[in-house]
Amino acid sequence: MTANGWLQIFLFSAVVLACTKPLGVYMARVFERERTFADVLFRPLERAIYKLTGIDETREMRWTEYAISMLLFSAVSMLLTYFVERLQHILPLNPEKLAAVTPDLAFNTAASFTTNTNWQAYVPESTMSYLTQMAALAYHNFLSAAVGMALAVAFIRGISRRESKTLGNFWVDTTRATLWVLLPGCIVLALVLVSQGVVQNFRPYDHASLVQPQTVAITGAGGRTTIQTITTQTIAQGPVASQEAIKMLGTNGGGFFNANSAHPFENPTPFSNFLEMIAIFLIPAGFTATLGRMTNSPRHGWAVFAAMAVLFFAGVTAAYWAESQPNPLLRGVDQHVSTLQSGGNMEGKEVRFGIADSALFATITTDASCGAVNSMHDSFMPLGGLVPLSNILLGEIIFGGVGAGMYGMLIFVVITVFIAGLMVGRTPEYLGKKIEAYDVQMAMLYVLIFPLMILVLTGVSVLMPNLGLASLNNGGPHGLTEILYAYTSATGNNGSAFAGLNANTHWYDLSLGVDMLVGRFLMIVPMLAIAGSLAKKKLVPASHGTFPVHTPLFTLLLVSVILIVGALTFFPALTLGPVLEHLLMGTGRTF
Amino acid sequence: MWDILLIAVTIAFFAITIAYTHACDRLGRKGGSHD
Repeated sequence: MTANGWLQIFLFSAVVLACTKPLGVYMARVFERERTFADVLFRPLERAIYKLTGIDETREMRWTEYAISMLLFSAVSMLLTYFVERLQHILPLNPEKLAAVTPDLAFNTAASFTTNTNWQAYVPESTMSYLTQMAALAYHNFLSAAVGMALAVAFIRGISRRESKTLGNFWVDTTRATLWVLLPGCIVLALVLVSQGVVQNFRPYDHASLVQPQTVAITGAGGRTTIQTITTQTIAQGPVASQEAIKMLGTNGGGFFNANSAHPFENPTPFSNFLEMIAIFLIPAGFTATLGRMTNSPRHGWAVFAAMAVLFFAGVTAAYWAESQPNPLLRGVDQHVSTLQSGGNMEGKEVRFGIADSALFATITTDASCGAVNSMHDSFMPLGGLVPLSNILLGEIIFGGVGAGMYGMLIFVVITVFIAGLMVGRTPEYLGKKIEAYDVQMAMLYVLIFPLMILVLTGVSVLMPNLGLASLNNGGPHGLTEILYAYTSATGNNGSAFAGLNANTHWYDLSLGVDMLVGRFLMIVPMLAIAGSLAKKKLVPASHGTFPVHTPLFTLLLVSVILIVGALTFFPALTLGPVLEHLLMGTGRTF
Repeated sequence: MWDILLIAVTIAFFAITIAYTHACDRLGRKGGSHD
């Protein structure tokens, strides 16, 4: 670990901290429909959208109507995406004449992008046409992010309103999230990325003749190996910057290229890397200030921010330390940091980013349910790979996805307040609202669906060799980690992967597709139920026995609850995976 | 064939989730909290 590495981590943290309040207050004003500086530009557009679609912006919805509107919108979007993928071979903007996406992959991809996961079980530049990338996938990048933001705002309204049956209007919230926050942010970010060298064009791919032809052995599907001489290189390109911007700002993570943000056309410079990392955390961090502003309790917003920050720093410290250590199996090799080498584990990492920025990016992307990568997580050391896996297993609440991180964290806040109430024998209260049996039942439903999907599907895949093991490239604990990571990433709607698992098989396409849908929508419903329940409650004045939710004690208890719930649920799986792999590596065994 | 099956699975999933929404709402009403 170097001073420069730590400087980059602290600089990143300082910029995120500085942007949190301004962006959070702006978003609060947008969603509370107060005046903003952007009204002159976006208000006419917004009114035109409502006129065209027949939306009554003054009409509010109960939590059930809000949920069903969101579900119907997502269902239609997912089906349309499926059709675009299946028909891309006859639709325009396909200069590479790519074939129709196969049905199971199309289902998996449609589910993936609808749920903001952006799990890509394919090589994008050789599978998806420009039209599919822009009209189907980039569309979801905006709208799934906007849906997440709308849901978080609905939950916050549930906390802040009293004796109200409604939570807002789903269509209005989604429109505002897109028009006022995502679109302008992406336009600015895309232009800056273009200045750094991120490509943005509609050209067909270029083909360059190799100076030195390469001879490769290729094993086909039938197991027959042929020797081929490669004389040209295909240089894929396209409308990358526009997709890159929303990929990061909307915590989507789906890249234009297979190498994602490790590819020089997606992330050419250390500065573009820095901007992309900032973009991932910007809106999730801002939501803590939005929470504080909308509940009239800014200190509570900062207490939640502090809990997220503590967990973030713990993760990045662990990942940076693990990746900076020499590989114990490379004996006799100088692996120390010097002016001539970065030292540590550079496998799967880009030289222009190095250890610190790779560890930082991996931590950020798995904290935030983004899933973009600038290094290969499968190449991390066992304890280094444990960090991204653990981040997702904690529930994607360390800042988390746009909106999803906030409402996920608020579920843990409800549980924390409930536990605090149990400890002192009082009815738990959260910002003046009593937490009752129904609220805790819904919170438990939210918390239990997550490990149920991950552990059951991982178990089935491991126990049915024909289903889950046939496409696994690594054995032993590393292989288990790869499968566990896949289902964790899908349920948590993250989208990153340990690349040693080929997930484009019937079993993984279908099981991961359903997993992503369950991990998103079946968890949203109980969350909205709690929001609806809280909105109807009367305000109870604070008393001497009320547990304050703006103090360091609250932050400490919140962090403890998150860690205990995560540890109790997933410690056995982690022990059999990355922990065992680390211990066996010490004896000289690798997988 | 696969297309029909997967479209049916998608529609079924969302239909189940809508039913699940109503079930959660009914649970809340039974408990005496709300609406």
